[in-house]
Amino acid sequence: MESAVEQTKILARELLESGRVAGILALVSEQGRIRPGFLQRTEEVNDLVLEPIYLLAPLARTIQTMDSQATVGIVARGCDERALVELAKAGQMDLERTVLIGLACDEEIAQRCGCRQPYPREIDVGTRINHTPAEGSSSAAGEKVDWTAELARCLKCYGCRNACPLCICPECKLAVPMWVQTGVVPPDPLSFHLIRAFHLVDKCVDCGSCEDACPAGLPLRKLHKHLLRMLEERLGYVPGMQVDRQSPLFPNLWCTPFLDSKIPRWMSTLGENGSGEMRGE
Amino acid sequence: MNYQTVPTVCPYCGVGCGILLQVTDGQLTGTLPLKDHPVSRGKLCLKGWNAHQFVHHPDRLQQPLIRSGGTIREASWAEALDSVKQGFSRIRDQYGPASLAGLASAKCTNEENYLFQKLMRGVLGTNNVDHCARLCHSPTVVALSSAFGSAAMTNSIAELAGADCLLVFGSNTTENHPLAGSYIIEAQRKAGHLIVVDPRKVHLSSLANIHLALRPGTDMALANGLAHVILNEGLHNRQFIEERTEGFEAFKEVIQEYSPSREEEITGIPESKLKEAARIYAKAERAAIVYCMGVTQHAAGSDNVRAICNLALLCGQVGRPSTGINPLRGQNNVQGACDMGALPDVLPGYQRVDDPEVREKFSKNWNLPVPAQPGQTLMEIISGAGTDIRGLYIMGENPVLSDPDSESVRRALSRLDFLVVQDIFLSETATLAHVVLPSASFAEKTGTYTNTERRVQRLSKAVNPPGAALADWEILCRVAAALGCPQDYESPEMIMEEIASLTPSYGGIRHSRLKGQGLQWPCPDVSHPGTPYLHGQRFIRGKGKFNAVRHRPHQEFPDTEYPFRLLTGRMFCHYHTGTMTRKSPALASEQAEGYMEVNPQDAMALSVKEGEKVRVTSRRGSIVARARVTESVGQGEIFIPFHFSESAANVLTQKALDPESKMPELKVCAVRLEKAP
Repeated sequence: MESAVEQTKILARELLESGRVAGILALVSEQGRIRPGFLQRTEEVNDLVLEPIYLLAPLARTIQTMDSQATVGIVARGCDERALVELAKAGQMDLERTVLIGLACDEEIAQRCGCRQPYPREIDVGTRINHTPAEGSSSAAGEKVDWTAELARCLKCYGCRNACPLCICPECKLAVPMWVQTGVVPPDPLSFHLIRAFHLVDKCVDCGSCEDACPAGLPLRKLHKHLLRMLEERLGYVPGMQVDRQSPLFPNLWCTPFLDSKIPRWMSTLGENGSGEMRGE
Repeated sequence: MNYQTVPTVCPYCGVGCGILLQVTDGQLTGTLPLKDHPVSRGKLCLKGWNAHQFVHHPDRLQQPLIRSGGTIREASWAEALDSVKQGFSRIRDQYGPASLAGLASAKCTNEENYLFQKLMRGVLGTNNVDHCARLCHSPTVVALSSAFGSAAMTNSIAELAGADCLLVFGSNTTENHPLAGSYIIEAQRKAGHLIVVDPRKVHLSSLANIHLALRPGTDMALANGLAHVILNEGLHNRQFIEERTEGFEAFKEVIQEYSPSREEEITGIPESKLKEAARIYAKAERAAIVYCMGVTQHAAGSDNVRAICNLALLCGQVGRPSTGINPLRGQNNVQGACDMGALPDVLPGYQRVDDPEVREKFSKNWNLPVPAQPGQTLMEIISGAGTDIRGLYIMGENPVLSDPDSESVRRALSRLDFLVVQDIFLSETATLAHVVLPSASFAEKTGTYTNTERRVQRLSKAVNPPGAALADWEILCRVAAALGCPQDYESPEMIMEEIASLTPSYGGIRHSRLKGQGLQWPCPDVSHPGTPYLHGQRFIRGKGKFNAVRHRPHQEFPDTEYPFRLLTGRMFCHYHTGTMTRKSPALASEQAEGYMEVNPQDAMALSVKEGEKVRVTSRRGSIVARARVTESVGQGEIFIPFHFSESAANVLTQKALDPESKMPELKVCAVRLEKAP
């Protein structure tokens, strides 16, 4: 049995050779540095690696935004896929032009991330780990937090927003003086972090990118988890997990999506084309 | 469509974070963090996230410019280089090489700074070469050399997270070195002993366990006061002092003068707080001191740093992981520019220019003579402009805004017979030049930067420079050739090989070895793994030296005519003279214009409300800025960030110098305030 990375390389080469994609988003290690790359030639696949975890979904959106024709391949973990689903619901991704190489996280990564679904729906590489984050662990929502003290550490780098796959408002309210005073550190926690949390209440896929990017160690996932739990308990909605359901909150808030996106009931991975489709309304 | 991510090093501060430039069809489209970077570990500050934004700005210089008559016009490289050759040769022939001077750049690469000083020394024949390190950590270079024998941060940034106690002097770290601040925050959360010494309430002091809000310019008295408590309570490390230090007895004698009551009289810090801080620092298993401009930008800057070094020697808090004396260097490559000998008294690797053996070594390798007489420092060069100094070559610096007393700098530069400025933008300084040479930005060239923890890292070229702009090293090669000394380097890699052959601490540095993590000097040979912390078994100078110092008040006190104390500094979303950050939309919109911070009591007395304009006047000049009414400054004090040319703090600042390092007292001066219409 080949290692996960070798299996991924084989699938990536096959996908490139099939001509179905303009390139594949994957992590590559080159000159001792690991970075996301858009691999367009099979020889570039030699440098492919799987860690450290680097959410690639936002880059898929970047590429589709700049090239309205390209079909994008992506080595996608569970969090990537959930982010892609929510991006598609918001009209920001065309999943018919997206091909996933589904990568299931191993036990260790699943533990470290405190992830409740560390795998995409269709797994091409790795095996499905059923993992339930323990209450009281760093990623659980139950713990009491002194938010005033925690958020006072904020350096206002906007890293949480920049790293988030779903912070996609065309005009970010966090940078508008009417909502958040500019030029001051730390920003007012109510306006900055709560505006962000509310904007993401029905989109956050709990990928942890915000926390990873935070130089001040703010427990941002906890903040979002509170809201996500309420959403799930009261409305039965979990962003990213329900491909065929639009958010029950503010359903009309989205303006015209800039991509004429159709959401396949199931996104195609290698081999099969997506079967059946569903319109994102 | 072509989409790439190119790993490189952030061009802003000395922390040297790893960034990924996103490149789409030859244009920069974004910046991402580099996850496996040893310092920044997938995080960035606001400036880092927007590092790409100024690169394609329409104001980028694309052609050489030549002044003819009153106007400045575009020219070809051939014409510009000829003009440079004529200008410098004429002055050298008429007034001698000592009438020429050069300012290198802490923004440029090691290879470029090396070439610059080689050009000034070997080709033009003068040691008059300096750069803006004079305005940030020249006192560090003086004091750390005398105490420990090496003028660099003793430990590594990531080690700060492991300290049981962090004592931070005069550093607004979370705003100005945010990713170093990230490790300070981590240590504070783990160990809970963060002591911040700062006259202002800054972001870091709000996170501190103890904030010692001393009177401006009294750091040395405070450090001596801390030492007094430690000695009196017997908390000093006797074994360390005996085995590894010298000068203790003389130090002990001077420290007896700094009883807590005298200390309180000078600094305003009460005895109880002083004792608490002293005990925490002395009793910690691993205590690290971090400091920055709040300590150095004083006329007593060198002695301030010595007083801080004494504390570490007294408690044996140096030479182990997560301890030490950690100056945070300002510019991305200010450490490297110093290492490369862009200083008037030393050649690369701090090898003294007045040592005949050293000169012989360089002269032989370069096949060029090296002048023996140490050159003039930055402030001497500027004040001598038009008299002793006739021709000046400035690479990537903007002294009109960065140096004290802007008006006198502008006047001085205007008096020069010949001024060449090499930059990416037409800065305030470049507008005064006779020839302007357009250069490539960090994203458009290769080379290396050395960060504040001595880590040499490699840049990658992501895009092409605009128009006819060239990398600084290419320009320097052409200038040298025009002056009759061709330098046939094909790449920065070749230049580094020459540097390594002449600079012991860089002996093992090769571009091919700088994959991933880079290498921390000293790295004497190609099998050496680099050095995370210094002075482990022995100090570089042998023994650590106590240098007893006495408090000297700063140079200009408030009086009836100028009753307020002006403090200068920086803020989180801009960098230095704003040349890059103010052309970056995300940063410019965060803070569009300059401001002055004033205490609510003072604001009320002046009937000034938030956002209203205030005229600030010193003996040197006058500016207008909008008021920010805030408790972060005390009564009688105001704060102005120096980034903004239209309300430039350095119009007001003074040129009183630290006698040893020639650092001007940029931090403090006296001003008066009036409500402006």
